[in-house]
Amino acid sequence: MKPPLFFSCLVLCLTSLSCERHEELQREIASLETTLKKDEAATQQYDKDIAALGGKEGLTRLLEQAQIKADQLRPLEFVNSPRERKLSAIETKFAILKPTAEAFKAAQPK
Amino acid sequence: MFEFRFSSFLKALLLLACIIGGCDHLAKLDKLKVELAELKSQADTARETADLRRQEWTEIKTAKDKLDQLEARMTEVIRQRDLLDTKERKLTSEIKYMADSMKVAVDNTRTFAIGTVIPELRLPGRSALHNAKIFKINDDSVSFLHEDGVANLNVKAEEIPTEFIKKYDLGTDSTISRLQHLVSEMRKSPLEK
Repeated sequence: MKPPLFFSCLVLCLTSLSCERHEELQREIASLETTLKKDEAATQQYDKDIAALGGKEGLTRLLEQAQIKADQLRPLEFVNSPRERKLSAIETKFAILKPTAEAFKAAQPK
Repeated sequence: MFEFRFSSFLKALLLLACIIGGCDHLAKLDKLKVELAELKSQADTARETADLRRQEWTEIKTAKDKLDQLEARMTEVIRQRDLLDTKERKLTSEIKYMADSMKVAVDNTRTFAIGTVIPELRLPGRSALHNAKIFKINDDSVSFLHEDGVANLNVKAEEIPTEFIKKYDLGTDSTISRLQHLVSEMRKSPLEK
């Protein structure tokens, strides 16, 4: 191979390799930019959502409110169930007594 | 003596161009590498920030969901309590009305029976009473005047015939006493034994 031809081939090879490296870097940068934009958009969305839920200070307030509600709820739930059982039991007893009482009343002397 | 040859000049020029081009290319590559490093750092920061915000949002959302669930339960419990209030008022009024009217009916029946004469009253476990006249009826006893004197027959001692117990609603198991017991049960707290 003649020196000029060898030289030309060498230059072409180097150019091709360097162009490939250049493109690879650019692709990597583009991909990173996309990820960065996505993460920034996600952060903005979370900021909006957090603001809609009352902000970062809202967490303490929400936890306090939940505790207050739970404290209010406990005695109500505690009373409702036995009360329902009591009324059902009385209702059943009354349903048995009622026809007897009605019959007695109907049979009383006028 | 130096002899100018066009081909040598061209080779030198080409070599120079290659060197300049190569240097420029390397400089661009370096610039891109720096840009990439900066972007990587920015992307890492952005990811950390996004993760942090997501964590904060999750905590707040969890607390909000818990509060919403508690509020929904509270609404349901209050609705149940109101229903129980209504049911209790209705039942109390029905039982009270029934107990009062039953009391009137029992008193009326017992009053009406005073003076009734039974020619022969057969009693469980003892001799019959002749010409037994009812002169008093209590909740658990009936008193008779008969040919041989006075007889006070008690429900507890099982001295009264069953038909009398039923007819005059006598004893601890009478309808009126059970209704009155229900009235007193209604007044008790559901947590009382």
